[in-house]
Amino acid sequence: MTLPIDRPGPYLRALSWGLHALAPHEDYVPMNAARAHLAALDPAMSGALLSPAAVDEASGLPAFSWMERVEAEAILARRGSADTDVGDEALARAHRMDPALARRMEQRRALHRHLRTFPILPMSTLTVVVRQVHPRTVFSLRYDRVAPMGGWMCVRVDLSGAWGWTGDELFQVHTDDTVTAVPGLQHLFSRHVLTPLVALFDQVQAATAAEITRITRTFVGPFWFPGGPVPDDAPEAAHGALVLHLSQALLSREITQSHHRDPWTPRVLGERLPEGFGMFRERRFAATPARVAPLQAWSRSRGVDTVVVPIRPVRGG
Amino acid sequence: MSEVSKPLKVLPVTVKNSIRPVPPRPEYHHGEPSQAALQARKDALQTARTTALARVDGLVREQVDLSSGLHGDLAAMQSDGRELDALEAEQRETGLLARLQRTLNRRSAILARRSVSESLLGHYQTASRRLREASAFCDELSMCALELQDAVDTLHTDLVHTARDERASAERILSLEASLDGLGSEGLSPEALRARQDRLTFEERSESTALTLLRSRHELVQRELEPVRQLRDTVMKLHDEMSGFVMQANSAVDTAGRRIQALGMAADAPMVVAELHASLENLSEAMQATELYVEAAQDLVTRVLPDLSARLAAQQDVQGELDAAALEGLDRAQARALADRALRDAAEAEVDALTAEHS
Repeated sequence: MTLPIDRPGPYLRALSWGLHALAPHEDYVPMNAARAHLAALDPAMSGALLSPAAVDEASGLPAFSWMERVEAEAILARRGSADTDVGDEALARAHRMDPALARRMEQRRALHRHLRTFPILPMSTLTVVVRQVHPRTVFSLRYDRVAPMGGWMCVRVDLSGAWGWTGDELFQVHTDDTVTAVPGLQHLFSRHVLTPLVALFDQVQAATAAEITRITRTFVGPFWFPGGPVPDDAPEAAHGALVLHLSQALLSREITQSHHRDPWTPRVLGERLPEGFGMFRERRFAATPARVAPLQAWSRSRGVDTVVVPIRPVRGG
Repeated sequence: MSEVSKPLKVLPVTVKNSIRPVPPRPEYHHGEPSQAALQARKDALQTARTTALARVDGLVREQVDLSSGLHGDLAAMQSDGRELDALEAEQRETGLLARLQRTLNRRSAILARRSVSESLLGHYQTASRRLREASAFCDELSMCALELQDAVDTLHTDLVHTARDERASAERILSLEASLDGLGSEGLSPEALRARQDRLTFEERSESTALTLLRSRHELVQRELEPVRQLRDTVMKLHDEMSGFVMQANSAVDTAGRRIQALGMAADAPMVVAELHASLENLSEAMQATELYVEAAQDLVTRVLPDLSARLAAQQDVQGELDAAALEGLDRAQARALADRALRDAAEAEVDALTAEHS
């Protein structure tokens, strides 16, 4: 769906405040980057440069095409610099000759400055860091993805090997201690965006032949907002309100007893976990203040005492 | 209606033996005409023209690069789309063997489709990035066209002021001529007569030089108008074509993008692939437009702009020779003829302007 001309600004700010209220931890897509991405989309900064403001029908988050335009602009912004940006004199000249063109140029300059200053959500990035060296070497892979179907996803996998293990042929450890993964690994993750977590565990283990100690997948979204897509089976309290979901599924050796704290997604019956692993699933919400209590009540009615935080305006965006 | 009384007509008092004053020099809009001022104007125009030509040339080349790149991106998207089609066709094959193979290869077929979808997504992102670049480029073209139009306006203003100066100069020459013709009737002593004749002749020669310089400036600016107009029209054409094309390609790529997003969550993959196929086919029109467009832009780079540049350089040489010849010195007859011609030209220009206004 495409938002009417006066809606993108309020919609984006509400989503940004929701993120701020939920304060997702580091297993989620980076919050500051997400909020900088939303600020770039806001017509208050970029005017109509990035329009049309399309929202994903399923998730209620900005559609992939809308999000992706920011990344495209970021690449163009990085090719230039403050020195190559259009100057005040040229802008003043443009204002005299064609005010609409001048406004576009000014908005493009503001957008590029913003994009050179703040990181934005990676559309599809795999990063690797060494988390531990002794007594076992642990590589942590992180795959951030603005999924084409709207959700903002992050998969994190900890791969463990004996002390001194260098990741066989999977990684390249550089002299400055940075690590890069072989391109095939990113391809693997991108192909398994939707694969259930246990199956993804099997796939990664088969492909890397390494010991996985922890795998987690998080999602930002869906985002329900007045006039936007809300599923029929959504709780009554969610209709005509702002509701942002944050969900996580974690499969780890450290979890001795599985927990299901997600009131929206039903338990997976008969799920066969890898030997020695436990599963933790949770979902949190940020919602219009008046709907916090009703959503908590709905959550309890489904046997889960979940976190619901109010969405409030944040100073400076 | 009451009769309005006519004001009394004041007749000039003719005083015998009175000396007509030497007509004062006009206040020229661009300052005292001189060879140096003319040269400075010529240099400024030449610099502006060279800069504008280089800028337009750069814009055209950038446009060729952008359009060719975009053409490649769209072709890559179509190629991925065809691969997806082929995968879906395999899934639709009937027959026992095909069904058996499908059952056995179900998983690899799903992964193959995801791989192609990912590749399609990558190409979509590249095309989308190029379109953002093209859209910023359209604004750059707009700005360039506006600046060239501004240059055209400045040239027109220059022509108006120069024409006004020419008229003032011509009128002064004719006034000096009248003074020279009436020298005998001023009742001067022979010495005073010679001194006055010298003075008036000097003024007339100076003024005719000024008029020659003004006419040179007029011709110079007049000649500059057409190429700047041509450059402006070239940029406007580039802008119109590029923005039309970008709009078309944007819409085709956006539609394809929506289908690609749907691929990720497709419960009914064959239908999504069929829709995607249709939207990728729409890219063909955008691709055809690019081909024509690149061809036209390449013609600009290889023929139109170099021709324009060469023509301007040739004009420059001719202009230099004319200026030198014109300033070699004019006698009274030539000065009078020059002034007459300047006034006639000014009158014709006024008539032209009026005709243009009322047509």
